[in-house]
Amino acid sequence: MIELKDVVYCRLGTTDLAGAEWYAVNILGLEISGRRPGAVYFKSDDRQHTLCYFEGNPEDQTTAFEIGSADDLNRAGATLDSLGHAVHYGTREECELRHVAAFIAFKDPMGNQIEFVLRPDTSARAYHGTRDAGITGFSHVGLCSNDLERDEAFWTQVCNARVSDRIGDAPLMRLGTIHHSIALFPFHKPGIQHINHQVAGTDDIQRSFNFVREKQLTVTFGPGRHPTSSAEFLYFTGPEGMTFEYSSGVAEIHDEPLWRDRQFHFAPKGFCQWGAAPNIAAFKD
Amino acid sequence: MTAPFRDLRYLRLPVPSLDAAAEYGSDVLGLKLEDRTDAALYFRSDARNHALCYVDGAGEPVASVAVTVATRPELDAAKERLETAGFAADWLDAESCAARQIKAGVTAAAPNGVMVDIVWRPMTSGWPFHGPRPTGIVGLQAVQMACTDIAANERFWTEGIGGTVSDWAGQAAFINIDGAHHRVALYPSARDGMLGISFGVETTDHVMRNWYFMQGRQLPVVHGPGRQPTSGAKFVSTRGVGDIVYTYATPMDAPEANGPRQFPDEALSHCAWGSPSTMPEFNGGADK
Repeated sequence: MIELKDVVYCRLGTTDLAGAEWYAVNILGLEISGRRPGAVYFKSDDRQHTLCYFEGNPEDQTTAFEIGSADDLNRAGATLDSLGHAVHYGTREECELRHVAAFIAFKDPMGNQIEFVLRPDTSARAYHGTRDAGITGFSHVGLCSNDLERDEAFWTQVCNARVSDRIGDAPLMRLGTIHHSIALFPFHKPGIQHINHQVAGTDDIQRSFNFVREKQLTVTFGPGRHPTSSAEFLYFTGPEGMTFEYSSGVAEIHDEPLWRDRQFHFAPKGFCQWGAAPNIAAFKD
Repeated sequence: MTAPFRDLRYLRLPVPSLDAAAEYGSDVLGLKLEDRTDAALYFRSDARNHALCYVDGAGEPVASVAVTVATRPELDAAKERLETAGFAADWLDAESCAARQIKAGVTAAAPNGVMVDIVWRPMTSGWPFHGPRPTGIVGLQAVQMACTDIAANERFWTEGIGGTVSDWAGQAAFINIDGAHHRVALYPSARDGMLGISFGVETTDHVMRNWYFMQGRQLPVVHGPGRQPTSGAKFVSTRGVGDIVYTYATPMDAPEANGPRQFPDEALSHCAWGSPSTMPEFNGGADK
C-alpha cells in the first residue's frame, strides 16, 4: 500500500504564461512565490507553492502527492514498476524546479500525470494574496477518468485513498481527515478536471461570485452547497479552460472505522442541495 | 432600557386582485392562507394568526403596519406620545379591530402615508405554521418603507412611536422597536409608501434555495443573494403582488451595544457581498 499524506501542487502548461499569471494573481487571488525561466510559482497557504504555470502544452497537467519517507518513496516506485507503470525518478534539477527533496513521476491507469514527492518545501512567509479572496489553501483536485471503477481501485487499493462518498460512479476520496483530497469524474481524456482552493466562509464564496460575474468570467456552477462534503462552492473557468473551485466548510471525517460511504445521484441534486445545476461537462451525463 | 413593543405584528397591503394575491402568497411566497373574507386574505408565517393581510385595494387603498403593546394603558400612552410629538392618532373602531384580528388599537399616519397601527391582544393561532413548500420561514422579520422625506419619517418612528435607530446606511435608518436590530427600515426614495416585507428563514441554505426557486419560476430577483452589513442578515429579494419587495432573510445580529453606526451612502452598505440591485433604494447615493 502506497501511503499518501496529502495533495501538494498542480503543474499546468500554458501557451500564454503572462495571461495565466495575470489570472492567478488578479482573479484567483494567489500570490507569486517564485519565478524560473518559463515558469511562475503561486502560493495559497504555508507551502512554498501549490500551483505552477509553465510555458508548454496546455494538456501537460500534473498533480503531486506527498509521501512520508524516502523508503516509502522507493517502495512506491517498486510497486508501480511491478504493476507495469513506467516510473521516472526525478533528477536533482527536476527536484529543484519542484522545491522537493525527491520525487517519482508516472501515469495512473487513466494516463493522468502524477508525481509522488518527498519533503516538499514549506515556507515561513505567510500567504498574502493581493485580492482578498479569503483563500485558506489549496485543498483538492478532480482528475479525469474514462473507467471510474478501474481508477477508484488504483487510488484505493494500490494507494491509501478511502472513498468518502460517490456521485454516480464518481468517487470522492480522502487521504487524511478532509472529506476528499482527490476525486474522479467521467471524461474521455486524461487531465485535471478541477482545482479547489478553500476559502474562509460564506461571505468569501458570495463576494467572489459577484466579483467573477462582474469581470464577465464564466461561472460554471454555483454558488451552491454540496450534499456530499457539506461545503459551499463556486466553480468558474480559468486559463486554457481549466475549472477552478472555491469552497468552504468541507466536512472532516475523524471516525474512520464508523464512516460509511454514501451513494448520491449523478444529477444536479447529487451535486448541489440549493438547486444550482452544473454547466461542467464532467458533472453532466 | 426595555423595548417599547412586543413585536412587529402585520402588514395590511392593498392589492388590485385578491385571487392573484391568494395564489402568490401560497404558491410563490410559501405562506399559509389562514382566513379569507370578501375583502381580505390573512396569511400566516409563524404563530401570529396572520402576518401579511392582502386587502381589496378598491375598499382600503392605504397600507398599514402594526406594532404590539402588552397592556391597555400602553395604548393610551402610545396615543399621547404621538400627539405630543405632533402626529394625529385615532382609536380604531370595532369593525377595524375585527378586520385586524385585535382587541383594541390606535392608528396614526406616518409621513410617508402608511398607517401605523399600535395594537393590543392580536390573535395568536393555536395551530403550528406549516407552509406549502420548504421555504424555511420562521416568522415575520421586518418591513421596509419608501420615504421622500426621510428625516420626517425617522422623527415619526423615534419621537412619535418610540423606536430607536440601530444603524444608518447613508440616510436610510434601521428602527429598533422590540429589541431586535430592526423591524422597520426607512429608505430615502423618490416615492412614498410601502417598500417591502421580510420573512425570517432558518439558515443560509434556505436563502439560497429560495434564490434558485425564484430563478426557476422566472421571478425578478431585485437584490441579493446578499448580506446586510448593518443587521448581518443574509437575504434574497424579489418583487411581486402589491408592487412591493418580498425578502427571505436569516436572523439578524443584535443592535450594536455602543449605539448606532453610520455606514456610507453606497451599495456596499446594503449588501456586503456586492450583489447588484434593480431597486434604487438599495444602491445608496441618495445624498448625491
